[in-house]
Amino acid sequence: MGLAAVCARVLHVYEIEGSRVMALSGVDLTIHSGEMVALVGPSGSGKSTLIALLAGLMRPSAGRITVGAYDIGRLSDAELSRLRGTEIGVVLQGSARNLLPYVSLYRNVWLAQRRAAATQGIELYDPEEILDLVGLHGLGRAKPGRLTAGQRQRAALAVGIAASPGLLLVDEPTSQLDAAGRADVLAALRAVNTKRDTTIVAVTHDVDFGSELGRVVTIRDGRVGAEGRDGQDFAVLAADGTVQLPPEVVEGLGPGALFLVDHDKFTVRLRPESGEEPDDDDQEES
Amino acid sequence: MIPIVVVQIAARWGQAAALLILSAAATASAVAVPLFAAAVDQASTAAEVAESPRSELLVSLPALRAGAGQPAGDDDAVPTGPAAEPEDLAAMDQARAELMALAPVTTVEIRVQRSASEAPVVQRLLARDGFCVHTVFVQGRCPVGNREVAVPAGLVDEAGVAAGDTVSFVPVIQNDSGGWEPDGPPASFAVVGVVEPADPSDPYWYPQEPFGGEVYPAAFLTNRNALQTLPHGHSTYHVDAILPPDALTPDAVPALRAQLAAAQRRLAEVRGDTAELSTGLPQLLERVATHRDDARALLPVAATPLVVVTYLVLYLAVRQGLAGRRPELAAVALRSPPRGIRAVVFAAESLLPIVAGIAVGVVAAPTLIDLVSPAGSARAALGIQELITGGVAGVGALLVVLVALRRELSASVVQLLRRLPRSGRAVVATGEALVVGLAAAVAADLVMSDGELTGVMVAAPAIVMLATALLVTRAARVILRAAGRRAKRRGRLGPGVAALYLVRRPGTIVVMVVLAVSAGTLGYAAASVDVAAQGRADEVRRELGSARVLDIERAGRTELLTAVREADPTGKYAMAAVVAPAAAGDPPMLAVDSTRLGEVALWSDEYGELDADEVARLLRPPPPREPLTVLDGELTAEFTPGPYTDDGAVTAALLLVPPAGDAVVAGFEPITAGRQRYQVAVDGCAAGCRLGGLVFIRVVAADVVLHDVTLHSLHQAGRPVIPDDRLVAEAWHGSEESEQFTQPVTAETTADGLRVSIRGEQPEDGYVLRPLDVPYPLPAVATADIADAAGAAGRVGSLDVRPAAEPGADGMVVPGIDGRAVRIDVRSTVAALPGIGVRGTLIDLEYAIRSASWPGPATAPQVWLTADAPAEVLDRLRETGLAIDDVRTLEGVRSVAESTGSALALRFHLLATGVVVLVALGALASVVAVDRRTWRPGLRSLRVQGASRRTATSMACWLYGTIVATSVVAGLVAAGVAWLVTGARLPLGVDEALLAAWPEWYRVAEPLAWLTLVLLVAAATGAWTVAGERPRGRPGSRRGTEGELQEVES
Repeated sequence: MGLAAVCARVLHVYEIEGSRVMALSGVDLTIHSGEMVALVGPSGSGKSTLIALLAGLMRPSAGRITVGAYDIGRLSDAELSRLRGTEIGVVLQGSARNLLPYVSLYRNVWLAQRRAAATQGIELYDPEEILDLVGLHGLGRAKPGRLTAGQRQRAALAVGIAASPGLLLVDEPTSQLDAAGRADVLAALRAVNTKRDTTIVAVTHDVDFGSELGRVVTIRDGRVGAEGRDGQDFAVLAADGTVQLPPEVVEGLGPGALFLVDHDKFTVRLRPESGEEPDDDDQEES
Repeated sequence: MIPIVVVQIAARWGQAAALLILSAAATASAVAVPLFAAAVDQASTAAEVAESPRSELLVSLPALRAGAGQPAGDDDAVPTGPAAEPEDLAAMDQARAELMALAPVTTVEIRVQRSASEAPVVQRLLARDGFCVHTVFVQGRCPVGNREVAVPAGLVDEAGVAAGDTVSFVPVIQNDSGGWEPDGPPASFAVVGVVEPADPSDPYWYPQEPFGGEVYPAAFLTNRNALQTLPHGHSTYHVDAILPPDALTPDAVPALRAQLAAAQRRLAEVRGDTAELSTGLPQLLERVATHRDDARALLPVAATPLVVVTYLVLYLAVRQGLAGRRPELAAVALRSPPRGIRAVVFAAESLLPIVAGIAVGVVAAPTLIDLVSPAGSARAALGIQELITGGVAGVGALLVVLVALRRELSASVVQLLRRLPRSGRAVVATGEALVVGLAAAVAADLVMSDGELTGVMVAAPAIVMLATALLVTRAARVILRAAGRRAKRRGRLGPGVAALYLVRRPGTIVVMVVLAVSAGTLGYAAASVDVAAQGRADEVRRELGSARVLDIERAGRTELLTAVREADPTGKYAMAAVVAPAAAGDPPMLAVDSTRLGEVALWSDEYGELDADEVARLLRPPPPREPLTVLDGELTAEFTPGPYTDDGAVTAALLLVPPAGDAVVAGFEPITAGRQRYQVAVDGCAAGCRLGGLVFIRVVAADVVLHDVTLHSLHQAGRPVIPDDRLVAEAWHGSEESEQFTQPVTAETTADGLRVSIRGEQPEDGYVLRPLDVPYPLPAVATADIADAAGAAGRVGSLDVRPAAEPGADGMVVPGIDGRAVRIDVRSTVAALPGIGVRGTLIDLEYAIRSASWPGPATAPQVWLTADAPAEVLDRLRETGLAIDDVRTLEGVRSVAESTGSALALRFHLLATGVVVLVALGALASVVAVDRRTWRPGLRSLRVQGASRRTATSMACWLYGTIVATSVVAGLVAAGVAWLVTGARLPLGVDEALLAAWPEWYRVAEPLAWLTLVLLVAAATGAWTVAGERPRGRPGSRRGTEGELQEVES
């Protein structure tokens, strides 16, 4: 059963060489059970930070994150650790950061199942089955170093889902992969999502890949800037009432431009202070 | 989990092998301490046994006389007193039984005369248990049957017998007049063999000397049954207990001492306190125990730096291994395996090689010790102590690994994902502060409380070196940081980058500390070896006294002095020396021909402010009076006896000492009442004899205990032999009085001559009044404790020394070279004396001879020779008739000194230091290996950006060059500080007075220079390895990946 995840006004600040940097400045995001969500956005926008917070690797500076029934911010380190060993699968960027290079794929998956194996009530699949699921049939005895980049990435996915988690967090799964490799990874993610009903959140720079996942959430400047669904791009109204305009609008008007907001039941209209009465085509709808 | 751990180790076998080797090195070095100590025990004990006089290798019980009646005469070999009773025999047997570790040997002796001989010589017939096993038969066989004897080969000519002959013996016993009378009927014996000792130095032959020796002539040998077939009234039982060759080990010393004490106790219970075991074994046991203690005191001190350095490198190796494994550890942590599995994946790869290394170290240590063992072919074997020591060292290694792993074992995923761990400055600073604090406490304890390097304090040198190395490298970091910034500002990329890289990498700092401690250990070991070598050399020089010492077999004192002066008339090469007899443990007094002291003796500045010539001048001031001389011819003396002296009760004689040969005694007729003239003809003084003394002999035992005789004159051919101005009491001296010695003869000036009083028990050679023709009390130079005792009543050894009882008489009374009391005047104090040591007295031999009562044999006569003494001197010495018993050289004595426990332990110090250096080189190599992985990509980037190869190589050269330079300087400082604090407490087994405060600088500089050279070569190799290759591959291929978590932290 997939786990839902909810981020409410999540802020995260970290320090680099004495300077405080706001990585996330109020993220509101709801991910439903069984969804496949792609987090996209420019470098430094906070995508990886958000996924690390969802994984419980870090704690938010403010706001609330819930995964299933768990309030991530309130869990102890031990509880978070148990959660990552059972209900949240994490695949970090770069397969080398997920796999033991000198151990076979089978042993990698087997090792990732140990926490779940020690926890009552969790049904575990045979590592070979898991490898089959991600398209690595018959490669259980192979070591990561002998695989292609795409195979390694799928092996990392296999390790991520070894404990049959409800939520799978994947960071840049198609990085440095060719088209075939990207397709294989996508197929593996879909298989995991459909056959295991696992909720999947993937961070990616690859917009096309993101689109294939169905729901694309754009993170800009530490906030959820937009969301694409079924081929359409939407602006997202944050809990504090803020909306991020598309970049081309911001670029056209310039920062600091003033608007008048007109709205009725179905329409919200932003009218520049110095501009003329807009045509109907210029209306923004939400 | 086992397959995962196995592939982990297989994947990084090099690192595992390094950990195994380091663990094995730490364990083996610890196990080596008791093993090497055992080897030292064996070697030093074997050397001691080989060098020991035979008297130290056996115990002789008092001889027992069996038979009825008390034999008369003064035969020294026959014990006096009543014959042994059954309880005596039982006590003797019990005493012998107490000496369980020694092999008992009984000898039954009877005195016999050859009945067929015209001039029968009294000989000994000995039945010594098992003597056939210890002999070689030149002719015939072992006398096993009744009435069979063997004859020593050396006795064949004298006895006129050979194998196959028959000899007839008559048992004899000495009678009251000193003659011999039959003690049984004659009996014939068949001579069945002619024998020689299989090993003349075998202690088995020492006590009764059946083949002839210093005390006894050769004797016939037989068995006990054969003796029973020779009817005899008296026999003597000699019971000896001989130390078997392998029985003496340092561990056996307490048991042997206990056995000796028990045997002595048993003996005293029945025979009284005067019955004593005759043995030198306690002295041998003392030396063996000293070697053992010295070695055991030094070995841990030598091993500790090796263990410390190995632990440091072990820590470094594990940390460096972890640095490469952090992504992998993060991957494991990310899956949140159970704690046990996580610990196994994290630590087993390091711990298993350590455990294997412990086993390897324990097992390999005996083999390694065998390779370097001073004990020759003896094999080292593991025992409980070795296993415990190895276990402790192994547990230490495991703890070091766990400490190195501690951060990773508990780190979060995010912490593990950081490429570099947090610096942990607080932990490091705390650790360093602890080490420095501990070193300060150790130093304070050693300096303020005069502590010793025992127990946990054996680690003191290592701790002080480690603390000093830490402080110096910390200071160096500050300097290097500033220098790096300055170099960067000036555009000097090489030194700038190298310095900053160096100060920022904790692993490099640890390597600097390791190298510094290694260099320090080398310097410290070199200092120890040099100071000990200097001390031993001084000790050897002091013990021997000159470059060569000839031990003379037998010689009279005057004969020795004259012979040496004749053999070397120049006085540049040879000097006569005589040791005054002294009880065991008493400080010796050495009489030397001080006219040659400055030329012949090896003098040392350590002895004091006086040099040899100044000492000679003190010992031999001008004589107060000329010797009184007598020639051949008639002498006339006038004596008047005292009122209580009966006619003929006392006789007078003149003791005349010719320049060479035996003394001449010219005896007058017994003295009768009234002033009478007495005449005597002197013969043997054609060349002039020195008047050695006036001898008075009490002829008749009488109730009167005091006699006095006045000497009015002594003339020869009208010439006064004794001028009137010498007929005064001040010009004569009787004998000294002390607790040990009475004063039986004194002189008093009267109006008409010199009145001589004699009293008390008559000395063996009569009452002697000596003319004072030498300074008296005898000038002496003594070591401090003797000199202190001279100023006030006190004890020196067994001597109760006290100042002169008479007002105005200075000095102290000690046994002179003739064993009789002599008064000495300590003119100066020295720290030590050649041929004597730190306790003893030096006097002039000629003055000592002239102040002795009678001429006589010298005790331990010696001739000291210089190193360049010509062979002719030796030839001339032999021509004078001196028989040279032994030649001792500096080299010979030094080789014995090299077998002492501490000297052998210092070898281990050097070996351990060699291993320390190798481990340190391994540490440097490991840093290079890490730099190859981590630094080279950066250098490649610089090359691609335009930096020349020379610049890249310059950086690496500066980096490793700085590491080496800083480490060697820090090591030198560390060695200096450690030596300052602990050097004086180091148990080097040499008399402290002879130990220099500091080593010769070049003795330390030389090995450090070699080490520096080796390190520089290693550094240059490392620099080439890291920076010497052409850039290949895409620069920055290992650049940080976008989205990495390493800098993300709230």
